[in-house]
Amino acid sequence: MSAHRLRLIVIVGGGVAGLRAAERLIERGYDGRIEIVAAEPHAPYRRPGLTEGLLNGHVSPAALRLRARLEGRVRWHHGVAAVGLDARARRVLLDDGRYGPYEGLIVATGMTPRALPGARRATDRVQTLRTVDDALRLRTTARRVRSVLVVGGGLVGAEAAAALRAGGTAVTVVDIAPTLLHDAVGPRLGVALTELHRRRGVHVVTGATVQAWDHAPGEIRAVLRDGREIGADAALVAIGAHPDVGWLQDSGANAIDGVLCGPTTHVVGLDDVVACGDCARWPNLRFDTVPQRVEQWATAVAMGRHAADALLDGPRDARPFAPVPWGWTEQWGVRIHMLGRPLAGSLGAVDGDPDRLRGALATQDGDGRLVGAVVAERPAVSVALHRAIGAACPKPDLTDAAAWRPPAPVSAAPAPAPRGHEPHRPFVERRRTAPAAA
Amino acid sequence: MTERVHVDHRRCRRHALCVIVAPDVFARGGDGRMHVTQPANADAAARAREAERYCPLQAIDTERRR
Ligand SMILES: Cc1cc2nc3c(=O)[nH]c(=O)nc-3n(C[C@H](O)[C@H](O)[C@H](O)COP(=O)(O)OP(=O)(O)OC[C@H]3O[C@@H](n4cnc5c(N)ncnc54)[C@H](O)[C@@H]3O)c2cc1C
Ligand code: SF4
Repeated sequence: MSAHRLRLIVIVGGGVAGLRAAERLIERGYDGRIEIVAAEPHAPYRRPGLTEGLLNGHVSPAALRLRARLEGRVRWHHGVAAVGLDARARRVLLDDGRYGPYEGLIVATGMTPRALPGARRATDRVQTLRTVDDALRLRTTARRVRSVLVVGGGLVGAEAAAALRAGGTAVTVVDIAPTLLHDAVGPRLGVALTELHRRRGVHVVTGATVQAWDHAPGEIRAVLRDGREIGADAALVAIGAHPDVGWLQDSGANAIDGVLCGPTTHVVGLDDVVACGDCARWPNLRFDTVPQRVEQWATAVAMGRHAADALLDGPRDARPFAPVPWGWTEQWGVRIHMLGRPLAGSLGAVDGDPDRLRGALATQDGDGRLVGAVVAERPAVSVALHRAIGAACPKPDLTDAAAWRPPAPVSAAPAPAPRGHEPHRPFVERRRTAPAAA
Repeated sequence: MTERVHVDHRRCRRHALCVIVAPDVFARGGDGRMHVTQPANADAAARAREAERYCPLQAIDTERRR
């Protein structure tokens, strides 16, 4: 049970990881306060539905809203962002000048899209896609223009390209890799999916990078490294995202590429702080000891729940977080599942005809263990492979977690509160302990 | 008070993540749809609720019904 009784838990980030963490705290019988600081003005929603539904107009923002059992226990601070963490005083510093005192803290701030040098972001013509507001703006733009250039053919770029094309927009995708989705599904399914996009009328340019931008009035011209020029009415920059952990700088945490956690999701270097979702980098001891991030819905759900458990249980008793990752993408109605670590070795066909997007490929690591798979349109095979990976790479235990050490020296003790953000009032009064009745 | 597990077949994309999370409750039927075996005990019910939270299409409903 609890290492010590927490009475005030603050969750920073109101995405699916933060929401599922709150839900789990309540499920576990935690009866203290829960405060969620959420930069977006909206209630939590299904982010994957932005490309698979909202962009091509099938669903409304309201239909994306996530259900959760919070029993009225959560206080939301929407439209408020954390800008710093004073771990010694146990305060989250907020952009409205207030601070949030905490006894336990859950970091769940997700990611922000990367900008392309030279491309002016967030204009009507050059956009990125992460939030529902981004998606609505892109949808509005797409309805007004004839052509969109998508820079980056990863999961978000390829899904958005399909949605825009299906809506009648002329779409060109430029990607540096030899195929679309190369780093998500590997080369073979990558080839098959690139062909699928081409058959549906998406103009795909692979092995190319945008070197320069020309924002002519009413048009965008991207100059590729090989000199080719691509003109479009608007552009979507989808070249990946970086974890939103800038607010943890100078907090004592290692927040270089995501916030560094130990195997249990406890943030290395801080007490009573856990992290979950896309912003967390942690060692999945089922596979190896190297901290990594996973940008997948199901992992964010699992990690949100696990982080809540870990916070309540304390670092000594918390179990290591060691899921077999399960990710999906849907492209032109073709369901692809990514299991475990599909890119750890070379993928070989194990079922059906993957080149025709009906089958599975799997991979082993250096020790010959089955560690990952990609599956097209074979959900039952996907269930079996997921189980097989779990069996080949067994769950670590508490001893494994205790033996883990961070890879490099972590930054020094928590620094004082960042200057310029002198907080003046708390957003919640610490609950005063009632004087013991005489 | 019992919980009834329900799958909305219009929303469901048959990803079978629910089968991974709660194999004793969800299974793919011969017609390709997800079939539900109502949870036999509290553990199965808890797994069904967990599947509801994972489902990428929010197609599972385990609301408490009287
Ligand atoms: C367009 C798109 C399509 C996707 N499709 C798929 C898919 O098909 N399959 C799949 O497996 N995954 C998909 N994903 C990934 C999946 O959505 C993410 O893994 C998941 O949303 C991560 O949840 P999270 O809670 O960690 O982060 P997020 O959902 O990003 O939530 C983090 C929240 O924290 C807020 N925040 C950030 N900084 C601060 C701050 N300083 N203070 C307060 N709040 C802050 C953010 O505004 C955000 O609302 C997709 C993602 C996108 C963007
Ligand atoms: S997880 Fe959801 S979408 Fe997937 S099969 Fe189950 S109910 Fe359907």
